[in-house]
Amino acid sequence: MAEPGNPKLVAPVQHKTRPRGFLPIETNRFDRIFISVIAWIGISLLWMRFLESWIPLWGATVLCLLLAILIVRKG
Amino acid sequence: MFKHKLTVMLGILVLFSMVLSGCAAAVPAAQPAAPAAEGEASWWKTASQSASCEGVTIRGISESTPPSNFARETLAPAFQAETGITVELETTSWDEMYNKAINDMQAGTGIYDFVYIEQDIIYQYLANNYLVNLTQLLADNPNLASPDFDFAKFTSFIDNFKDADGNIYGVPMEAFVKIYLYRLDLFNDPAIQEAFAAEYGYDLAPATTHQQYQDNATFFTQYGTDNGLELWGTTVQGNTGHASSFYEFFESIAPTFGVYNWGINSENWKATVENGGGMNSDAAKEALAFWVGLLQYAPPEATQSTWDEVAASFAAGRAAQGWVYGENAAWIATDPDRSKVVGNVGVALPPVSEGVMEAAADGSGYIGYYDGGSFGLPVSSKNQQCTLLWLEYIGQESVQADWAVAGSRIVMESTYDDPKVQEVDAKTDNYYTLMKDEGPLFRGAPPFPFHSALREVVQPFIWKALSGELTAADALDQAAAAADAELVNLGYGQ
Amino acid sequence: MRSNRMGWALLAPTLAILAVVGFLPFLYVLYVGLFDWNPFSNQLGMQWAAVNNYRRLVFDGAFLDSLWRTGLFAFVSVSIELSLGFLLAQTLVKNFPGRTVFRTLYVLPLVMAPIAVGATWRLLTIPGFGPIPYFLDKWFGIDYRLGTFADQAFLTVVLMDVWHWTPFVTLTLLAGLTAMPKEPLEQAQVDGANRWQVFRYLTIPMMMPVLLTVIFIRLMDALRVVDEVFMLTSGGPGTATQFIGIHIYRVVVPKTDYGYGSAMSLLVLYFTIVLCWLLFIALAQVGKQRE
Repeated sequence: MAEPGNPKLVAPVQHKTRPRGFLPIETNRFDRIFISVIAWIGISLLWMRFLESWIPLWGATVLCLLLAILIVRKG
Repeated sequence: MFKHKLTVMLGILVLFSMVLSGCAAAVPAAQPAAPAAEGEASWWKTASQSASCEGVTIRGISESTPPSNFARETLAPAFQAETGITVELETTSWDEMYNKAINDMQAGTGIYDFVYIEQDIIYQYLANNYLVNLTQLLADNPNLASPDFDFAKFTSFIDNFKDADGNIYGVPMEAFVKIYLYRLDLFNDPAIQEAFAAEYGYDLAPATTHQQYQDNATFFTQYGTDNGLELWGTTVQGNTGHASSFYEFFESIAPTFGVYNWGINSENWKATVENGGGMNSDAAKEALAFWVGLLQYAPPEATQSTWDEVAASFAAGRAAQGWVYGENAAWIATDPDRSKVVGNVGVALPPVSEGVMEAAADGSGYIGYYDGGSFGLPVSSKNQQCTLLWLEYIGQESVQADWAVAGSRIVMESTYDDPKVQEVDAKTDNYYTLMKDEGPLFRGAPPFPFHSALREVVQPFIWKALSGELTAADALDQAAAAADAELVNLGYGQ
Repeated sequence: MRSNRMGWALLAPTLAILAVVGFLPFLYVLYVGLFDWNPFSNQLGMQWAAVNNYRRLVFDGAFLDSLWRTGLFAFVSVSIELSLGFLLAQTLVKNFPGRTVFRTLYVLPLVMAPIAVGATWRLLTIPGFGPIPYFLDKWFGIDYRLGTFADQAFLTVVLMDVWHWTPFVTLTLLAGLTAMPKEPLEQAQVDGANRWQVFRYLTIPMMMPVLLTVIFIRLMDALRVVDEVFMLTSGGPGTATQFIGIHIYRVVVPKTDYGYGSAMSLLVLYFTIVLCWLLFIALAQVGKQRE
């Protein structure tokens, strides 16, 4: 579409994307919150099944909270 | 032109629908209340008017069985003609009936004005205060108390629907025993008798012991194969995905081995032998092994058969003997349109282990299932007075005989003496007499308020035993352990 | 700004309906899932249980079994439907005599309600009455009894699903195949690619969005299968075809274990959402690669 000689038309495609985080896919804030919630539920379930007899469920919650902060800010 | 055509068409349609609705109204009116006499009719009318019930529609739900169908097809129209109250009785499958009724009562929606209460579920309903106290309701509305209705006329079966204080919560509409049916033509055939005696060394007869039952089953299965007949030795209500198999085992088979009340100790609510229960006792395991073993002598549809298919298999002449719900006995023995074995149905008590008959006679045990149900009035109903009239109507002595003939059910002593019933009694090898005389040997389900919750937990193990996935012993060990756990979950025993 | 407000206004009815029929029930189930609530237990009414229901769930063998069984069913039946559907779609793209008639007959199962499909198959498979057990016995000597043999029951349920849904897969893939540009295929043939290479390197990549969409739709359907199977086997023999939907039904309706059943259905919702989301991401990635 754009004529190769006209820089005005080529340049302005600048989305407000942040540099890509450690997640393998491109995400926006909602995606990362969503991933955090999904991870929280999954980890809690696995925790109840395998770890709860040694470490109470709060462990999972704290872990997931840290994970969520990490994902939302750096993911 | 077009407009004109439209008007004509509409006119025809309106006329047509008027004629149709006229017919619909005329049908019940044309059947002027067969069972009731003239004088009574006026009482029902007055009562209905005094409670302003005329034109009201009451709705009920029941299982699609011969007695319920009679109530829907015969009693409801007659009642409507007398009172002007329309009765819509929904007859559906057993599962569906419970699901709908319980959902309605639990949510308090008030869709149903009367529901079928089977003898075994009443304790669940009473514990949740789902039902209206009919004794109280009658006392509060003396103008609605029919002179033809009296709780005292019912057999002792009505005791199932009483609370601790003797208040009644349901009007009995059916009661029957799960009975041992056998084929008279086969058992009385001299050639067959001779062959049987030659093979087993004793005379062919309806079984009184489990070994004899198994011999009969083996013999007739072989007989069917040898003669190219679609005939097997026994029915088994062994559906591997339906509660009916749980019921046949725990209510009909296990008691004949001396395992009562599902093998649950109601002192401490435990099922395992270790905890004082009996669900995985040796007798129970023997019973399950016996019953699962019968599958090889049963028609191939046995593992997909509920009570309906069992009756159908027997009526189709596919089995020589079997445990069949008594509500089906009359039509199997007398209705040539639906049954191939009319006139050839023998009735006997089921086979039992040693000592069980004595235990049943002295009341400490029982030999099988005394089933039945009533119609009750949910608290959530919005037409309680009108429904009370309907419940009284079906509880009149005068409607009982025809009902007994149609559905082989009896809820009043006086019904046994009715000539119509005695006539059918003769055709059904005295099923009604047997029920009258030997009925006390049978018993309904134990009074568990957790009935269906526990059944859901235990039944998969019975199914797995039937499909051969588990041995009888393993199935009952696992079932009893699961039952113990679930009972604790439900707050019974610790 | 104005157009934005207009957009919200236009969306409002949809959102309101969604909130009432979707979100409020979800919240209610979430709430009930935190209680012990069985009207037929010794304690009447709802008893606070926090996450105990979920704690029970992760150790509940019957639940986990039926979850696993559902996954297996979905995987097997969708795989078969996909391969069969693709094959048939490739065939139907070409012209052959009687194609229209075949197409019409072929999609007939699609218009049947699942409950009718279940009833039809039940009639076909009842021993002593249905034709399937009769002919299997007569021709191959196979003792076919759905109520007794778990493998047969599972296989029959898969077959029934394949019979019902392959036409759908075929139709969708057919639309995709028809819409595919012809030039790359012709070019590849000119360049000497064989049929497998054309299929592997051209058809499949070009069909990827359609394929993923079909997998997406069919997988969701297969995971929540209830009616057909319930009609045919009611989950039996034993629990051989008791998929998660039937399992939840049994817990919530006949057993009236409302709290536990709510927790169960939420957990299944969770797994479904995760699966959906993964597929959605895959779809999006494919879309991006194409750009």
